[in-house]
Amino acid sequence: MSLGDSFRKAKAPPPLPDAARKQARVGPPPMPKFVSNILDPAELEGFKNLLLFAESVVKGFFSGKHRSLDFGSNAEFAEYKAYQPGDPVAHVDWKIYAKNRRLMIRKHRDEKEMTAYLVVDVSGSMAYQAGGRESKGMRAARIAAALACLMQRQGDKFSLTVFYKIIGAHLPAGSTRRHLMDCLSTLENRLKRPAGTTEAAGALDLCAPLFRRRGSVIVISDFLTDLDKFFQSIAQFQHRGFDILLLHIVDPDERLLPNVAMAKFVDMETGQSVEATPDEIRTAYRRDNELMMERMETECTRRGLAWHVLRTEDPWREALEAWLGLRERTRAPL
Amino acid sequence: MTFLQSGLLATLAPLVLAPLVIHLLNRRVPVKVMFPDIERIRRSLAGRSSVAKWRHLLMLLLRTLAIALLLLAFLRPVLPRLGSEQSAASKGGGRKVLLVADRSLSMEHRAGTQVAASKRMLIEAGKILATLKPSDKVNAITVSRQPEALLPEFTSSHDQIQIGLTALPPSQERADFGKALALAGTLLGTEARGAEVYILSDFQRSSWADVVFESMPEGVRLFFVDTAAGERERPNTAILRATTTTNIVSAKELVRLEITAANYSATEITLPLEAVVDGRLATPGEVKIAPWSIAHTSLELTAPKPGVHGIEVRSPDDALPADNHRWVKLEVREQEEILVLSDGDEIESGAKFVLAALDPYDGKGGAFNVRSVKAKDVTPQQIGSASRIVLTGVNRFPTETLQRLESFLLAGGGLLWFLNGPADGEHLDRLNKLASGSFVPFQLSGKLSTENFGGAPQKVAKGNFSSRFLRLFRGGGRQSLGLLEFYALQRALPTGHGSVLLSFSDGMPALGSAEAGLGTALFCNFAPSELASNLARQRLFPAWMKDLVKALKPDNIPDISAETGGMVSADLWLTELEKSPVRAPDQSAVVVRTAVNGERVTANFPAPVAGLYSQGPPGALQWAGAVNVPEEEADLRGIDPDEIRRRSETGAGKPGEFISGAQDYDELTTGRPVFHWFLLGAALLFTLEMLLFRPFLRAAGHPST
Repeated sequence: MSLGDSFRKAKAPPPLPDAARKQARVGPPPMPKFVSNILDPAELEGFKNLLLFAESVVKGFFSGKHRSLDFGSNAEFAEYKAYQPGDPVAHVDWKIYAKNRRLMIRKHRDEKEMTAYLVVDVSGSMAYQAGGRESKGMRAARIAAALACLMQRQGDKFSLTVFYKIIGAHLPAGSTRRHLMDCLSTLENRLKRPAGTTEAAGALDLCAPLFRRRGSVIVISDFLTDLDKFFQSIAQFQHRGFDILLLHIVDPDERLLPNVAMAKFVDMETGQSVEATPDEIRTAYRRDNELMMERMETECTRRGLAWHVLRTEDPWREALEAWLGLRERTRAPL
Repeated sequence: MTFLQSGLLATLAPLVLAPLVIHLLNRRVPVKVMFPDIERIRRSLAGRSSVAKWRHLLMLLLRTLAIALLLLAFLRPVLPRLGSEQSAASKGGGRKVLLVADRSLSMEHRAGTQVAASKRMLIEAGKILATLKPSDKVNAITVSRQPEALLPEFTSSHDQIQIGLTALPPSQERADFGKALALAGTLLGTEARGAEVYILSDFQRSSWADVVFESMPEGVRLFFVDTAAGERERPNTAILRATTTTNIVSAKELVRLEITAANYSATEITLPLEAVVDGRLATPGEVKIAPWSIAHTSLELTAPKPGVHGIEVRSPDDALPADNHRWVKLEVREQEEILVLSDGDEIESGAKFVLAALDPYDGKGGAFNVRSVKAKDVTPQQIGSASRIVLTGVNRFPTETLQRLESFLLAGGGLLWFLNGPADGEHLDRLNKLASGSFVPFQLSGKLSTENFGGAPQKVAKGNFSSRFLRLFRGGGRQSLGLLEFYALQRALPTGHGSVLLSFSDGMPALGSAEAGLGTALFCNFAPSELASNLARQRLFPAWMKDLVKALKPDNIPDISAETGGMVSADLWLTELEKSPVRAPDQSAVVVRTAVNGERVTANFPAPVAGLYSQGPPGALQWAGAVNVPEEEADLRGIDPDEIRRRSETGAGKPGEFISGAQDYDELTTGRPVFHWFLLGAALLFTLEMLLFRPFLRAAGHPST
């Protein structure tokens, strides 16, 4: 059952008594508590405290809980400043002038919202699952869902884009609970049929016109793609002032190869196959994998990208911590 | 190389294909794994080393070879060993095994392990017998002085041989391997090809010095089993010989034991010796012996009471105790009556010196009962009761006295005559006439003094030292004769009769002997008087006098003891033998073979053990015979094995082989097993496979493994 279905088929609340019904607010019924296969509310509760203490400053255009470097007039008082010609006269604190004959201007902190663009890989390789662990795709969906939920709770806008060779689905930025439900529904729909090769570069190119407002781009993928093209594509977002967070989903078998004597490896994206004895090539394979990871790290460091490796055998809490880390990193000085 | 279990080859051969089957199965059933990205797998495959690419084939090859080696090990591969390919067993037939067991005294030597070589011989024989199958036949020859076969023919009853060898008592005999090999050739007969002859011996040099193998039939497989545990030089001390100068002595006489001892070791030793007469210690002594040499010494003891006695000469026991004891038979008679006849002054005649030499204890000891009588007063009874008569400085005898002396001589008496009397020339002529003119060795024709020799004393210049009368002057003792100076003597001319034993420097006879009837007369052309010579002043004078007197009895010859393993012959009285049997050294009765000759009986019996064999009640023996171990058995040095091998080639056609005591005798029959080399080869191949691939796999192994 998809998240949307569960929402729609949610049990209707019990009928209110007549007195209460009369006093009830007119409008759409309250959103039921969502039930999803990819997001456990109990797990999410663990991050509640993190949310409470996440006093981040986000670059954005909409107000919210995040403090902005821009000073406004209807928000939290920040400081006094001596009036300079050209300053808005409306901001002058006349009470101070009345007391000591000096023109002082009140300065306020203005809170603004942040837009996060969740870009989730749903290619065929993300369906890999072994050893009782959850698949990479499920892990990516759970992380995306958790991040979306987190953002929705703190009032940030978030967008969801699923891709493989092309963009599979795109939901524009939103911050409502319904938007969250739509995101979850989209993720679950795509999880049922992961397919296609991964061409992150092309997908990102397609995303560029869709991500109009500056914010954070969070790419959740196994990055089994042409990395040169990928970094070229992601660079355009950097140039536009986006913060980039790359969440690299990795299964242990991708690092060490499965523990089988003799195997016929079938590519999940292309269907091609090759026979090999993992024990024979494990060393070379591991070295090759390490080179790839080193390259990722080098490129991300050089380009100023945030890159986190998320292993399917580890708790997915790391993803949220990575996100909060990004928020911390992007917090502006007072 | 041959395989003892080659019949298993057909059964086991298919197993060699097991690695191939496993290889093919592995190749044909790969596990299908859906994987996110196979590009990196392809790159890894392309980057493999050539060893990794051919790994499966190499593993297949190594495993197949290892399995093949394991299978071959099960087929019991053997290498030919010392002619095992000629063994009848290797051709499926029964073996013919002959054990030649050394039973010499040297086999009783206990080396540092305290295990006698004879015991090791039994152990090795047991090992050989244990390798035999019921169809195999075996016999054994025990090699002693007279080698014997345990059984007249080869037998399949191997236990019988084992029991026969085990039951043999320790031997004190010598081993005659020449006879033993001849007996072996006879036993093996014409069907000797492929037969196995095991010679179990300590290969003592003295026993094997002159052994030849020509009597060994051609085609026989000879094996030498050294039971001396490889000790070629086993140190040993021994008493090689112990003899008395005469086996018949007089009571209270001083008996001189001539002892030869040997030191067969690399260090000089001082060997304590002691002589025991009738179980009582008589005389202790010692002798210093250089390494690998022998030494002579003597012990003196006083003859016990008249009768037959045994003297045991012994030294401390060592690893071979039997040769540290030597027995000598001693027959003691009553003191002999010696009559010394002289006239005039005892000093002038020299009688005083003769008496002092023959009776130094003045009648209280010594071998002789000496009586001095004036020649003119001698009675026929006195002459008849004496066994020997010494005459010195006598005056003219009456004819009757001279006739009695001649009768005494003819009846077996001994006469020692110093020709310094005034009528001695006449006495000799008359005596010669009485003996039909062919008796005395020289004639006298007047006295001579130093003036006749230019003022210088006469000296002895020539002698017949093989004579028993000059025994003391043999070897180094001859120098003592050079000290003798003679001032007064008789002009003497050889008659051609008798024998001249000593001559002066001018060729004049000094000492002559003559035989008359059963008696012996000794004529000295000198005198013991101080005016006539310096003889009495010489240290050897008393001994020489005694020796001359003793030597007048020709039956006084040293006892020659019998050797262990030989036959001893005893001439006994029949009635005495019936009363008391011949007894062995341990006092057990000896079974004798007798030949009766009137009242006398000749008893013959084997003497396997050294010691004193006797007949008669203890303390009053009628007869005794000393039996001693062969002296050559004391030298325990071994012969060079190469020399034995070289000699053995002449008979059997090819040289025999020395095999150690720890040898697995199965190898000699079937060949040397080499299955362990195959196992080792298989293990090496498996190790090689592991070394080639396991480190590589371990380094690349999945963490879960």
